[in-house]
Amino acid sequence: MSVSATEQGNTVTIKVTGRFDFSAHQEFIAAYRDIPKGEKDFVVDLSGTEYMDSSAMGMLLQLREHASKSGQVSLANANANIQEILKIANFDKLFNVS
Amino acid sequence: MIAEELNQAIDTTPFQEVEWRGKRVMLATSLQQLASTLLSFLGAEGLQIQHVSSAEQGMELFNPDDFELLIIDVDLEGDGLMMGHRLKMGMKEQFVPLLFITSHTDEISLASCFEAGGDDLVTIPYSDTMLFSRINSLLKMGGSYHQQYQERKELAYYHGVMESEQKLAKSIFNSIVHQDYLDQDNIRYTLSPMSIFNGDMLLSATTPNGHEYILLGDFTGHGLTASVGTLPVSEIFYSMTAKGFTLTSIISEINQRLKKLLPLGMFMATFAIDVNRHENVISVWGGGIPDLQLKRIRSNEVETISAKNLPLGIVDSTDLELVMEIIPVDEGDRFYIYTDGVVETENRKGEMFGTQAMFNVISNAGKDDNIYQLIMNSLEAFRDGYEQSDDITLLEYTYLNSDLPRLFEEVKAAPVQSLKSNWKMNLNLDAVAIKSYDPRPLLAQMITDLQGLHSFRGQIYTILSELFNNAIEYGLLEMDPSLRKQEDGVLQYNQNKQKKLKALTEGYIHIQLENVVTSETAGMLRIVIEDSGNGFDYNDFIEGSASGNNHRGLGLVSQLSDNIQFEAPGNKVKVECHWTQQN
Repeated sequence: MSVSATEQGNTVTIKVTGRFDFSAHQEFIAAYRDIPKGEKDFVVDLSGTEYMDSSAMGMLLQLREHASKSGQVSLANANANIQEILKIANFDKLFNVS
Repeated sequence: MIAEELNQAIDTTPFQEVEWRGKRVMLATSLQQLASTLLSFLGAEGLQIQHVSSAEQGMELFNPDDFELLIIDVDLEGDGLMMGHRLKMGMKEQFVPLLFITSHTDEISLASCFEAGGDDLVTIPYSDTMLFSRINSLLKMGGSYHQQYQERKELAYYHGVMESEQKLAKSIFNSIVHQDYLDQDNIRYTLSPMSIFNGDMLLSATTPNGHEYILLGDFTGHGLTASVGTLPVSEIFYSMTAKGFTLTSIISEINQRLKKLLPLGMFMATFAIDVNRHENVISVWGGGIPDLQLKRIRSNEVETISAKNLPLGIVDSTDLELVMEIIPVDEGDRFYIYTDGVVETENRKGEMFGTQAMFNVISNAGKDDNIYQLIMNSLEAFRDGYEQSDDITLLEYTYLNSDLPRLFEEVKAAPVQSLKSNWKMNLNLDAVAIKSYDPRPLLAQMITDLQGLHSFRGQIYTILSELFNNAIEYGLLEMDPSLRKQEDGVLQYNQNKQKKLKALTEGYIHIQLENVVTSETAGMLRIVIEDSGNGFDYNDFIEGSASGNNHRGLGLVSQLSDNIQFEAPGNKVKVECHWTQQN
């Protein structure tokens, strides 16, 4: 599991590789902690994510609070399993799932 | 002193890292000369020395808690090697280093010192420096072992305390969260905890007018943090259900409480189901949880009902769509609800069982198959021995239409502890209030509390509920009761009702409650409900049989009360219930 963040303009892309579960907690928070709250948009790139559990969904909710008010958190490139997990939770009501 | 000399020789870090002062040493030798030399040498370094002059004496005095070092002369009276061996064997988890002193310098003799359990040895004649260094090294070894031993002992202690606390907490949680309502013939379920606690919860309770509410909740995470939320949820669920609140009110309350209580990022995936045997419908609300599967008894087909909302505890209740999905059901229909642990069950290859597989198992099953068992078997076959990684909770509910809930059989004979007080109250609701507020639970609560009629709560609630609904549906909304008897009529009826209620702008409902004391031990509760509508043909009700006509609810009221009267044109109804105080 690894988490990396890249910033481009007003958008920060966080890429989670491997299993996205409780073990990613520290690294995931570290990826955006130093960015001032409410200023940036976020994209979580899930192309390298194999698995996601409910504690990962909790981390996404925390990130959502950190993002800019007008902007959104986008969840991009999720595989079929993760898309199903996001769909079951109806997270498309809170995130831009693509 | 030797330590100082050595320090000068090494000239870097201080040599004597180990504190000698106060360390307790057993010195076992029968040679008086050797004993006094060592006593004065080691004593000068601050060691506390216990001298014994025979193996027998040493073994009697030795206790591993009382010494940090053992020095044994191999030629001790009674055999030094034997003494060392015995003492070493007697130490279980503890460790006291053993230094042998020997005058035999052949290899066999030296080796036998180690065979006997010695950690090091010094041969006579010895040099003070070598003796000093060896003791120093052994004390260091013993000290670090002792520290580890203490830490292990502490860990084991705390582990034990934690386990017993968890056991206690678990039994408290279980008694609060898992009550006995689920132990019915038509319900089969499994709750499999991943750890000692469970983030999953399954609740069931019955309202005063016989609706059965079921709630399946799955909190984020596992263990203690996941189970913390289960306490307020079960408390709200049971207390509000007992008072007759609608399931949407209960969901709303639970959501708001969880939003306030849970840290950001924690939530509860939920299915809430209202089983209504009066009308043969179930009403369903789902938030962030896998699909409900409904296996029809007639067609043998499966209907899938997806959760359309977010899990509870994330957004405010005002941002949730608190609308129940109404589904007509027949006796023998079975529905299945389950947590994500079921569909996310993984095999060795990291594949998920998935929603489709769940659907297939239920869909392919025959009418008489034990579907619950089929699901469990499929999961086990899919896992193929691979460990379960999430909480698994599965409920199978078979719909049975027992005519009326048993609840009402006993109520008329129930003893009451009533006050001899006369009171009266009026409540006038306008269209806005009618649309947004449900007065039934609070009125029923008020009557039972004020009048001490607790054992009549179900009866009072049902009467109020039916009369209030009638006033809305037939009075204000002018619904056609015959619609409910048609195929899929209940669904149509409820949709029409929601639509008309939304459009309602004018009208009122007056509720009058009155208690009249009639004797020392008896009284009468009168409920009058009047609406602004045009009334309905109540002669149809009076002439028809209680169960066969269009107004089944009024039939129920008639059964539960002592007198029911309508006033023309049918927009006002008066019901009387007599109560008797029994000793």
